[in-house]
Amino acid sequence: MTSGPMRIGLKATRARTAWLFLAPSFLVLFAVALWPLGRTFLFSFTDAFLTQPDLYDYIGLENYFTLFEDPLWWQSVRNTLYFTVISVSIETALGLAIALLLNARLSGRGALRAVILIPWAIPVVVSARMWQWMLHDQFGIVNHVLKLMGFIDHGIAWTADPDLVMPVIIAVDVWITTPFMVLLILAGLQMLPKSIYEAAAIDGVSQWRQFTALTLPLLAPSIAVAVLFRLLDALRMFDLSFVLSSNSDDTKTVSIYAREVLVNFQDMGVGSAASAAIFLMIALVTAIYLTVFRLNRKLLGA
Amino acid sequence: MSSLDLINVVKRFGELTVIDGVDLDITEGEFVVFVGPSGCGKSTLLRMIAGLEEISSGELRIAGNRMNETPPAKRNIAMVFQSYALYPHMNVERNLGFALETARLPAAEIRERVTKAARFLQIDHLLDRRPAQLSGGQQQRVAIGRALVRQQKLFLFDEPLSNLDADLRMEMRVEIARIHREMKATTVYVTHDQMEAMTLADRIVVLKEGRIAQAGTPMELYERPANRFVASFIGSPRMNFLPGTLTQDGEESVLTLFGTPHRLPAHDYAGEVTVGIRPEDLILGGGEVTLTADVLLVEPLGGEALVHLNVEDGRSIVVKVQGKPDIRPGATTSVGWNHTRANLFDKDERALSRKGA
Ligand SMILES: Nc1ncnc2c1ncn2[C@@H]1O[C@H](COP(=O)(O)OP(=O)(O)O)[C@@H](O)[C@H]1O
Ligand SMILES: [Mg+2]
Repeated sequence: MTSGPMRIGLKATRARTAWLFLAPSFLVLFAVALWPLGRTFLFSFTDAFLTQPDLYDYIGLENYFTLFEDPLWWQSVRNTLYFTVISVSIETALGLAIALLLNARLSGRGALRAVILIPWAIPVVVSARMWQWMLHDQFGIVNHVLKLMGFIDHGIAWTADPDLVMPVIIAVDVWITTPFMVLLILAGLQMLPKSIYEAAAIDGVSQWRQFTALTLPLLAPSIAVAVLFRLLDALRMFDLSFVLSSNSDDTKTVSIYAREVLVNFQDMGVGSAASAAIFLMIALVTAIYLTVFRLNRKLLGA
Repeated sequence: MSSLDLINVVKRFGELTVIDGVDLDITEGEFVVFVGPSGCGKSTLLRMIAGLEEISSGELRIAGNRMNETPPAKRNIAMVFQSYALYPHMNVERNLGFALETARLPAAEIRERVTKAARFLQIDHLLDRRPAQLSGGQQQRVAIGRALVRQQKLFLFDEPLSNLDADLRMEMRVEIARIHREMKATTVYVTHDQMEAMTLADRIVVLKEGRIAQAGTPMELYERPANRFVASFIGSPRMNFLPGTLTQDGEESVLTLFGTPHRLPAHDYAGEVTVGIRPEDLILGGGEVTLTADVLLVEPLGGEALVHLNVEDGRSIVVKVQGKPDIRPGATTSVGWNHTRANLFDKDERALSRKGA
């Protein structure tokens, strides 16, 4: 039996120690995340220019009106959402399929697992440059191989053709980030209890039904977390589009738009408004996603 | 109900032979318990019957038909796993009905069977809960229920009670005995607990290192263990073992224990032996064979007591007596037994039989 005051004392000491350990990371977080975010919101209500950021007046919501009246902003929003939905869907489906394959008792599974991670380990800019060269209309290996195989006569301008550039960017993104999906889903798969599959096998449950009735619902939380990570990443995609097709309006993402306004046009006010809008958009998508997922879980009774 | 035949069944994992030639016929409706120490191959043998492990050589027959190549689903079996293997995302009702649902039985029939099984196992008030919201004992009942609703002819249990506490284990043991009495399905039950084996089995199969050490009714194994391994495995507290030598003297045998000869009915054997006497067969005060011993410890268990003794070479033995014995640690006493209660084992640890027996 511990006496009351002593227990409380112990708890308080523990809490103090915890805060002490957490303090440095909170400080860093504040300095690199919260403070800049606050400043961005602040500047989004001003007419500041990048050349003289200290000279500004508050102009209310003016910048937001400017932003929302710009058709290019809305196109970049559409581009971003299109890219996000398509690439994350493909990556999820492909990631699940590969994870299931790797989870089966294949020989050389360990080596396969290591190999599959390589695209993800390469910095995105490097991958993008690599693909840019491979997709080059005259010297690229992709066109070369297609020509050799007789599919095409002249090289295709993969990253210059407005109809092709977005699919190409999505394909490269799939190449880069599917391994991440595979890894997260595989981790989830390996946590599933083996014995329920044996029980199901004895009970005459077919492989397909084992997949739909056992694996998928039990894997849903892992998939959901992986998808959330990818969503957040895809919504603020910058590098791929910037490297593969820097000036095309067809692949302009909101991040590229914000940078353009801020750096090219030096307009800190509108640039900050765009950044703030991006932040809110990502927050909104995340909130919707989490709500739907929670509801779903409740409905499933998981 | 199905008969089950194992014919020289072998299981190898690579170089390692885990089941080493098991022959066993199980008749319809029989309750057979595989028992043995951890790692002796009980689960492997059961899983071979279920079709979860391939059979390396030999043959498995269910109801007379070869089953080696038949997938688990087609063997007409139901199995209860040590880990319960309940579907974590389904409530109790769906756990029970899932196999029937898969078999496309009419919904009314599924509901009827599930309700009946749930009532039988007293889990009908838990149908809406998920496995994580159940206690171990309740999960165990659901696992058994899931096997019951399928109304199969052969039940397999792999250590179903080993994750439960002592009280619940006793309760579920009674329950499983009741299920077998009412369903009369052929049952193969795996446990490492000899007590469970003794209370449940029509026939016990003791396994040692992948081979059958002995198969027989609980009383046969208790009364006439075929070897020292079975003798020490069955019965609690364990049988006492003392070293001796056996010599022939005309129509009689002479057992020399700690330098003292004792006359015995004739045996067909001479040489080093081990004498095994169960704690409940030892008599404080002496019997046809009597030794002197120092009292080490008295453990009263209420209705009976365990007396730990040191015999002549410092070996300790245990005597089980009724009531509370009137002796104290440190005292010297005599202890003995009658010939019919002694088991003799040769130097290969096989039981010796009497001449003519
Ligand atoms: N898949 C396997 N691969 C290799 N060895 C195994 C495998 N399964 C079981 N064994 C070995 O077989 C022996 C018997 O195992 P098991 O049947 O589980 O024993 P029990 O159920 O009697 O405790 C053990 O030595 C175990 O290590
Ligand atoms: Mg086992």
